[in-house]
Amino acid sequence: MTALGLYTFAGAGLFALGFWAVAVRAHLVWKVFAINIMGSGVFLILLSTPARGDPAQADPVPQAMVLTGIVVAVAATAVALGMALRVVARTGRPFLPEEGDLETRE
Amino acid sequence: MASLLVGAPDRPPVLPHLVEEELGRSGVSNPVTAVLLNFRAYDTLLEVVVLVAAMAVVWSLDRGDRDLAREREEVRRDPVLEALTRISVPLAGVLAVFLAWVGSHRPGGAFQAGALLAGAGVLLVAAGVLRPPTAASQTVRILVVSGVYAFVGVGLGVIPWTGHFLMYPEAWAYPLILGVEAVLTVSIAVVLVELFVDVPAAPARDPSLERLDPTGDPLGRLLLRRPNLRSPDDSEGP
Repeated sequence: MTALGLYTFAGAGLFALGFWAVAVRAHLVWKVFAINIMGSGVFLILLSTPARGDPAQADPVPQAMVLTGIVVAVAATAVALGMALRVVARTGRPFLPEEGDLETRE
Repeated sequence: MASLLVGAPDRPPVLPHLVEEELGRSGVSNPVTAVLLNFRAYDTLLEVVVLVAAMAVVWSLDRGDRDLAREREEVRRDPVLEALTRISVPLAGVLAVFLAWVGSHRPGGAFQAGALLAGAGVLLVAAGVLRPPTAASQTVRILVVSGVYAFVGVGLGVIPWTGHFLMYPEAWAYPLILGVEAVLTVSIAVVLVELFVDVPAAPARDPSLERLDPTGDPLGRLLLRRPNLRSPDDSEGP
């Protein structure tokens, strides 16, 4: 397996790991973290797949796309954390709201 | 999934050759920067718009942190962090200017420089040297949208010369890119700091929050495991 093939496998592995963590972990911050890891896996795949076997021809277009993707991931993380804080403010617990948690007590 | 990707047929890469051919006409010598700010400048413009949109969402969320709005009035200075800022913030400033400028022929550019400046900004706010930014401040709002405005302005401004949005005339490509990157760096830095250290402009008035948490600090309550004060008569004004 070439070194670049290793990156592809690592990327796919990160994606799978993040996907599992998003489904299994209940804490909201864990979920945000896991989604970020899935994003890193995707970036690895994007970068390593075009340059298979020949690092000299690193394709600049996926590199630019990944740079853009990193910035978008940062923005999305900020929004996700803000929403997690909102959930905590409304229900007092950092987990996805259950049935009846969101009713306003009048 | 990985075996699918690795086993995919090897197609000869076309795009890197296209990029290399046109690199001379792009105004910069680093291929990634050329792609980001010239060939695919529209994508970069939309990326900045995404940042500003995330800003709008964070500003519109009521996160129940009314205590922070109160603390804004008293700025706490932390001596250890202050010493750290004295060393690292000027260094970060110089490095950011260098990164933004060197992006034309080495890896670098507006986003990297903006991120570095944002780190310095967060450090300044944590040390108590700067007040945390807030949506109410006119300066913050202007800085946040200046990046998008500059980029769109340049994009529209080149239409009389080349007839297309964001298609730079060759002779002007380098200075235009540099100018847009300069404005973008500052704007991105402000957006990033604001996204993560934002303080609500005015104390929140959500009645459901009043019931759940009259002390106004749900996150602190969660972290310190203080009891949830729930008596309806207990209402503390800001």
